[in-house]
Amino acid sequence: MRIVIAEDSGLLRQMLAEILTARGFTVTAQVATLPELLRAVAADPPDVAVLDIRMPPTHRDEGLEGAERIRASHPSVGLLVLSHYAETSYAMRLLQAADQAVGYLVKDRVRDADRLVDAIKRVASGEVVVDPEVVQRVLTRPRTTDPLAALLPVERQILALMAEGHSNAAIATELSYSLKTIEKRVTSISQKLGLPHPESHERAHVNLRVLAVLAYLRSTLPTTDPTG
Amino acid sequence: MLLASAATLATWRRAPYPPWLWLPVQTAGVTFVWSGVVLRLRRPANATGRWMILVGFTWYIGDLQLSDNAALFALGFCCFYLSYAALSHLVLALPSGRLRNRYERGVAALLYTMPLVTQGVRYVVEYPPQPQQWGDPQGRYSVWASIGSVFGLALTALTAALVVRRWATAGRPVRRAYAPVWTTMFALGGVVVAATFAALLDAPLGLQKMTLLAYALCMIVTPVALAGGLVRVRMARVRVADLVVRLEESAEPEAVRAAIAEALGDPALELWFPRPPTEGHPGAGYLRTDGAASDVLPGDGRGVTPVVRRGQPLAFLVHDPALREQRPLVDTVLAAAGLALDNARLLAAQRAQLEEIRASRARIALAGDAERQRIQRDLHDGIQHKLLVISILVDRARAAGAAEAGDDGQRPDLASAALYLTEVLHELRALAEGISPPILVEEGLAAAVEALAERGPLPVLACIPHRRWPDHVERTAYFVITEALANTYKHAEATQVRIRADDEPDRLVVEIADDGIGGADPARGTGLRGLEDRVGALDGRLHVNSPPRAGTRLVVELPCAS
Repeated sequence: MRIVIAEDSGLLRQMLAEILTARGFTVTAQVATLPELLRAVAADPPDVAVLDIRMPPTHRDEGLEGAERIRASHPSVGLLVLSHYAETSYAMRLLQAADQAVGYLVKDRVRDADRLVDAIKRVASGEVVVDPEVVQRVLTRPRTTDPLAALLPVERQILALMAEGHSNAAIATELSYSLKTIEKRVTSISQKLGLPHPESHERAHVNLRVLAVLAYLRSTLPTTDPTG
Repeated sequence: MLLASAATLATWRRAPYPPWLWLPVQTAGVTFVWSGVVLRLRRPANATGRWMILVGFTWYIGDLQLSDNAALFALGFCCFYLSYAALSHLVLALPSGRLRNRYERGVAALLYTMPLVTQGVRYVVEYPPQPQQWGDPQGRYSVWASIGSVFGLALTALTAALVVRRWATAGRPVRRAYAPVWTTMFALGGVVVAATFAALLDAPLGLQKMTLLAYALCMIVTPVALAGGLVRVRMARVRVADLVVRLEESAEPEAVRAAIAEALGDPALELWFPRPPTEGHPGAGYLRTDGAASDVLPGDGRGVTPVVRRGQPLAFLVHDPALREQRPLVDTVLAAAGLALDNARLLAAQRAQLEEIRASRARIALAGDAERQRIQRDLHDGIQHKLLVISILVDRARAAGAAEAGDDGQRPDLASAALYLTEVLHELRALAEGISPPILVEEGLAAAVEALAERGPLPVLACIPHRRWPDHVERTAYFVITEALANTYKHAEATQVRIRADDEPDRLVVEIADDGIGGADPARGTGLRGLEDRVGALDGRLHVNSPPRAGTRLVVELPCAS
């Protein structure tokens, strides 16, 4: 699998390249800035671009901007954005720009090579990956009236995995349940929370489901625009 | 008017002068009477009008000499100089119409009595006397005529001296206010002296006639000029009286400006003060009443009148150039506004200094923000990355060790190091976020507050428009919100917090309200005090309303005119 790494810290960039090469990936380009990244992707589109959210020139949100631009110019390139800070609003912005083959991970995850590799592979296969820290935060935030109180503990677990981007099959494997059980639970959760019912199990719906769940979990006021 | 017409008609046939000279001479009395009447009506308190009327009526006494009646002739001859005495009296008594001291009163008494005496003696000595006329060519004069002239000249000189002395002792505003009056008087004095010399030295007839014409013309103009000048001063005084009342009401620079503008009839008038040198502006400059500052006074065809006190410029009026024509009014107004101007100047200077301090505080706050952002970025780009790399290396060493020695070969020290590294990474991340939250800079206030809400121990209902405000405004609002939330979490025993911001174009108003126990004392929390300083530096306001058992409501209002 061909990877482009965009990260302005040379040390970390090198470390990432080492880890990924050791795991059998081909790192086709290592860049430090957004313009370099765009040139590298245009010159030789990789399967996945792993990019830092903050890069020169402005050190703000070049990673998100880069993701949006690459998705527009090269839709086949998977996007995994790394960030020091786990922010729901970054994840939401990213998911709104790209509804499949996209991931948002907190940088600390690179310590866990298996997790990083798994995320890259999932992104490459078109899935959505959301960092568990982000999901846990929106899941556990204090609420005035907590609709999640109506969920069984196992349903909460399933909801978290849904928000992280896992498919029903992946959730079934993860929790050692049958796919049928998971599907029943998902339907129950959707009814309890009033989420749009996932009729189909196609991949696009899994991705839309992530966005719906995150948006649902984020909204606290009835008046708040749930996509805001 | 009737008297004048009668006198003119009666004397027309026997007039000693040609009509071009006689008519002006006869007209002067009329203008004196009319001007005197006008002045009595417009300025009843001023006695000058009375003397004008007297001058006007006595003007025609000399005409009695043309009568065939011996008694009337004697009266006309002896009182010939009465109108001149009345005129000198009038001049001495200007501008109030009253004599001020015994010198003046003495001179006035002499002015009335001396001509009567000399003319009386002449009437006897020169009997039968010729009609007394100005510049009579064929006069057969006794020595008393010359004595009379000399006395007249001396008294005129004395009068002139007293007038000059009064002019010299008057202040500039008074001089200017009465400028037309003074000018007329000195012109008149000059003509009188010339005429008297001409008579005394037996100048050629033509010259004497010319001085007489000049005298007559001067006498026609004099009362009009005097009355006009006095009435104008009165009008100015009315406005000045209003001005003084208004200046009593307020020392606000803007109010002082408005009062002066109204008194001078120039609504666009601007009032500038010399700017005291400050750290930000070491050079000279000017401050307007509305707080605007400039290095130069506005030019573009407007008039500038400095107000000088004790040799120092106190203020500058920038006004309609037409006001230059009204120097007396301007001077009177400025004299009346003197103290208020000084107070307004001090107030304006004080405001400017306060503004300077505020701007300096704002600069310090902004510099602090930039520094925080720099530190946050340094932490992120340097230490956080390096720690992350170190933690990867430690993890790798642990894995390598485990692979070599089997599952039981775990190195406890390396495991602790990995654990501490994780903690340090988390702490460092929290520290960097606290110093300058990247999400605030990148995504704005709504996202940043949402992030705060996700991390807090209480439900936080935030309703903030998704828009951007200037950086320093967002940052200040954010710090106020974090401080308010921290206080609520710690002290309020609340069950929820509501945060809302209004979408207004030129300011950001944020309200943070909890449903806790209230009774928060804003004076006690140093955090809030520090925020008050910061909000104040941006010219904003912070209100805390925290009645016992009714929750705490904090409102911060930040202007964001950029």
